[in-house]
Amino acid sequence: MKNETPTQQMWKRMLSVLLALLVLGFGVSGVSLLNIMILNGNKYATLAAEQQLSTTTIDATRGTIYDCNGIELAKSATVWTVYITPKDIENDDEARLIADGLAEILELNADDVYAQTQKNTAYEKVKKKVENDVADQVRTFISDNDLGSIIGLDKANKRYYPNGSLASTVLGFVGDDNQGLSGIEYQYESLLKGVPGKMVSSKNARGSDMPFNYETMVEAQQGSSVTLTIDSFVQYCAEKHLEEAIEINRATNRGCAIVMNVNTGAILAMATEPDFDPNDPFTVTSEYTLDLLEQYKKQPVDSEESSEDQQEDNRDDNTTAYEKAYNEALNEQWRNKAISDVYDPGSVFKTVTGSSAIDEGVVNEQSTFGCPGYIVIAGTRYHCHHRAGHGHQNLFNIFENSCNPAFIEIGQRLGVTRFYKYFKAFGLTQKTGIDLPGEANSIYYTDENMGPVELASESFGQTFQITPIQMITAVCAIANGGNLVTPHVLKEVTDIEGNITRTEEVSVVRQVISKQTSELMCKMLRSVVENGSGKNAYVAGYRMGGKTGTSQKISESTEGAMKYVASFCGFAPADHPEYAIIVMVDEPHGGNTYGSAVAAPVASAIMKEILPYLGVEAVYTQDEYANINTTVPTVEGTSVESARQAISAAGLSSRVVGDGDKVIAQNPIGGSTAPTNGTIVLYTEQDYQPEKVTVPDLTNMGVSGVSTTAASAGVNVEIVGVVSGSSGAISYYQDVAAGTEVDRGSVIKVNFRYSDSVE
Amino acid sequence: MVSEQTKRINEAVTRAKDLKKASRGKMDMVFFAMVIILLTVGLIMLFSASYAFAYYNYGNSYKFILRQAEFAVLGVVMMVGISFVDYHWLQRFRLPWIGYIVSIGMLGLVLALPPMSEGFDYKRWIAIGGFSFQPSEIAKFAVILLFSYLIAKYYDKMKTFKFGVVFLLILLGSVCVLLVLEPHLSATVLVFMIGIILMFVGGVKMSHMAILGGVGAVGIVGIVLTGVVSYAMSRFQYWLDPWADATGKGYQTIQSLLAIGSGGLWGRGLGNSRQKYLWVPEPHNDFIFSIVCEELGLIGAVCILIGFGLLIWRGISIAMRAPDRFGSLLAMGITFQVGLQTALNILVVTNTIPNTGISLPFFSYGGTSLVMLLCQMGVVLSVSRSSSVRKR
Repeated sequence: MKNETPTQQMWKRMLSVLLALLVLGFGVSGVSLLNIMILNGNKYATLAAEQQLSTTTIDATRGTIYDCNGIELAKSATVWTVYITPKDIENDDEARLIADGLAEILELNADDVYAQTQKNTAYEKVKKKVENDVADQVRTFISDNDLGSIIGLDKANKRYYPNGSLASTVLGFVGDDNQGLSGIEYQYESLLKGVPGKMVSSKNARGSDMPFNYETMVEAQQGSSVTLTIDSFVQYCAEKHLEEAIEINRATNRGCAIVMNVNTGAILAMATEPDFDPNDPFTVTSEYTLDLLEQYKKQPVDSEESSEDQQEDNRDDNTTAYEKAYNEALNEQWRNKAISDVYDPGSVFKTVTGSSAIDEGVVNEQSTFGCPGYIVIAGTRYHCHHRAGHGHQNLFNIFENSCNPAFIEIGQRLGVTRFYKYFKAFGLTQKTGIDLPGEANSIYYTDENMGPVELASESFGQTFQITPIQMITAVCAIANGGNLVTPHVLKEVTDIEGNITRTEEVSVVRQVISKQTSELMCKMLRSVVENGSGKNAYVAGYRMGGKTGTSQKISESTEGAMKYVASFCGFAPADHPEYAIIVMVDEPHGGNTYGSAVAAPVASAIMKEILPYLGVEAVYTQDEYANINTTVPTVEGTSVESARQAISAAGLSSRVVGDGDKVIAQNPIGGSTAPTNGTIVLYTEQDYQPEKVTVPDLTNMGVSGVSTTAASAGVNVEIVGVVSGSSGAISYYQDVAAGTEVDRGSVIKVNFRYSDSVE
Repeated sequence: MVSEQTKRINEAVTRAKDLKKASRGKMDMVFFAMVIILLTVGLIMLFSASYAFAYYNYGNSYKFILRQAEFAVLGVVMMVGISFVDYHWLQRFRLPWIGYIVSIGMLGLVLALPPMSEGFDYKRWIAIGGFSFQPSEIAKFAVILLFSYLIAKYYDKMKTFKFGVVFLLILLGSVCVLLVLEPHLSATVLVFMIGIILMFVGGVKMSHMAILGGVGAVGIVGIVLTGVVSYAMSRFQYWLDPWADATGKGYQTIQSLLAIGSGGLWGRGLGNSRQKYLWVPEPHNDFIFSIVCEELGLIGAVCILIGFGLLIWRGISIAMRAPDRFGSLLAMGITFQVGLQTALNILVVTNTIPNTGISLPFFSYGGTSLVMLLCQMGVVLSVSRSSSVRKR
């Protein structure tokens, strides 16, 4: 073997190859790296982050809505979203297992779930808002079948309204993503919703978390809680009596009631009936509406001659018509009638005309008015509802009589400019600014386009339309010394730590009338309830003041089918007003459609329950005492003799059944309320059989007639609505229907009203 | 007869003395140090790049690193051992020819065997017992050895077209054709380039080199037109626009780019790659350098490139100082093989050239190929020992 050393040429060529390798290979490599890592680094890093990082939104818990006493009206609870990762399903057997298993637990259609398993995606929501107990069943199913990598549960929130439909039109409801869609939920969305959190985590290419702490967690911030001025009890009373009135009077366009603090503008109750269940807002609840909707389903299909296609079309049209009508019904049941519907206030508005005139000095306590039964203004003849005329009247009389010609005259005396000045000052040209969404604008004549005829009809509350909230706000100003306050439903806002972050202050817009005017108005409106058309609004001991109203819905009425709005707006106690109430029943179809007969008794019933609750002190007259209910003493277990004495001491009488020495049972039971002079049935034998009696028809008779009929039938009567013994009041409703079998001694509530009052 | 016998004995004694002298020389410590440094960094990075993959796929994060470490220890022992052996043994007993023929045989055999795993459309591996290796690894060294031997022995004939071009090209071409048939494009390119470099340094006339270039170009066009490497053509297509099939053929390249780009100047830090979490497919194999870039940044990546540069510079320095042409060509061939493979790997990982499937020396997972590599490093060190003797 030759052992020659490398040649110079070899060296040169080696070095040239080395140079080429270092420049072309390593140099270009270096440039490429520089290009990717520095010049385009951000681009690639961003793309990498996009695929590696997965962001999961963590729902913020929505704030609670409380009533003024801290009772929960709306709250959020944890629910679960069940999802699957279809791309990780290995075979059809597994897909079937998942579809069948989840469908059964979640009450879904197995085929629908199976269809989801066939997608090649990483995340398919199977069901949202799954309750805890059902979620646990899903977890068991997952662990039993080792499906942890395919089925998962995400935490979410669900809105609950523990009291069902209570205050539903005020509270509103939330949508699928817990966003407020109406009412308070919508109004205070930004406070309630909180700040959603997010979890950014690194995922490997198979979608599971990397085993290290690359997670960034931003905690969700719970929404603030909102406390309302709404009082659950007051709200409940308002809804109960309003609902009853709507049923009794067969009102077809719903009704509303508002209870408001006259001095602060705080809304204690705002009821619309029929309403809805915010837990299930997309279901129409009103049976009357549902009956109407049925018509859309039952529309007759065309005669046999029409082709099948046409029939098909008709069916489609019917379905669409039904759906359309259903959606309209939903929108209607969500609407807060108290603020979103305008109506002709009718005679209730005379409070505004009257106080404006008094304040301007156009009329005073000494003024007198003559009513021949009509008045002619600019050639237009206005009749008084009392065709014969009210004759000579003073200021009190015209309110008590609700005399139209007198108020037309007052309006004319004021003139357009001053009338409109007060109309504006009472806030009737603007929204009240209540903190609820959907407040409607009023419709009215401005001073520029108001002639004497328009002025005449506006004077007694016709030919313009305002919202119930505007009306009660104006009446509050009349009652509270003249201040127009802004109504509100928010009391305070509380953050997650419980700190009060916002308190709603009383907001006085302006002084509308003088204190003196206000005081005079209170006196006159009290007289309306005690002596005039508002008698049905009477509440024993509480000095109610107010005004009824019955307005014709002229534009919507047809010949022979007049539509009315019956309303009452008042306050108590009239000598020192604290709470105002408005009740409006739209399109009643009972025998009597007047505000005095339809709305005033509702106001009375509500105020009777809430005024003692709200701590308003009762001052009874002699007559009123006779009508006060008594608490029945508990006498079970005592001797018959001592029982008799105790009952007698309570102002009640007794009826002993059987020959025993001791009282075994009594009816009504101890602690319940019975009317004074009521009879308590005492059973003295061990195996006593309660005596059964049949409830008689107690409607359409006077107080004494009711008492006599009830006594002979063996039931007790609680008189509602009027002073016991006063004449002219006629019963119109009893809470236990005639013909019902009840135990002897049971208490039947009977509602009375004065039917001689017409306006 | 006696004198003849004496002469033979004297020759044998001289040769033995030479050998003894040779074995006594010092090895090139810079080259050795660079090998150890690159191997150590390579092992660390292999562990970092492989543990997530190993964990998710085998439930054992240490699966790859432990096996690779065993081979590394074996390889270092063999490297040092081989460095003591005179490289001239390699030209004895017709070893260059035997190596070449065995390589050809194995390359033929691998084609006859079924693919090692289902789903692979290429045949590159032979498995014996628990080991598997690529005949192309053997072939690379066989070509270096045979060419170094032939060029040193027939250095004078290198300027002739017949020997210097045609004969050597036939030898080289045979290997390349078999590699193309596997198909194993990167190995083909690598072997071909090493062969050409050896011929070039070995003294082929520049005019002949030009002809070679032309033939090479024609050959490439021919291969392309015959469609033998149609699979490589599809790779070519996705080299230009990997996003055209981001979840399919472009996936590996895209994931590599995302990893490299995520590194920035300083990197995410050792062990902090995210792309190794199953995003980069087989992050311990050919694309390990993308994870290196993500974790160590541009600074780290350039340091490693400089490390390879130093190794190559030192290898060439050894080759230039070699006592004879055989040793010189051998050291140079091995060094350039490592250098070329490194450059090609990084160019592939950065999508500068089409993805051909080429591993990174000292870094990529593969026991037998690591041992092969370290043995070759031993050969270079052996040459360095001889040159250090000659210097004295």
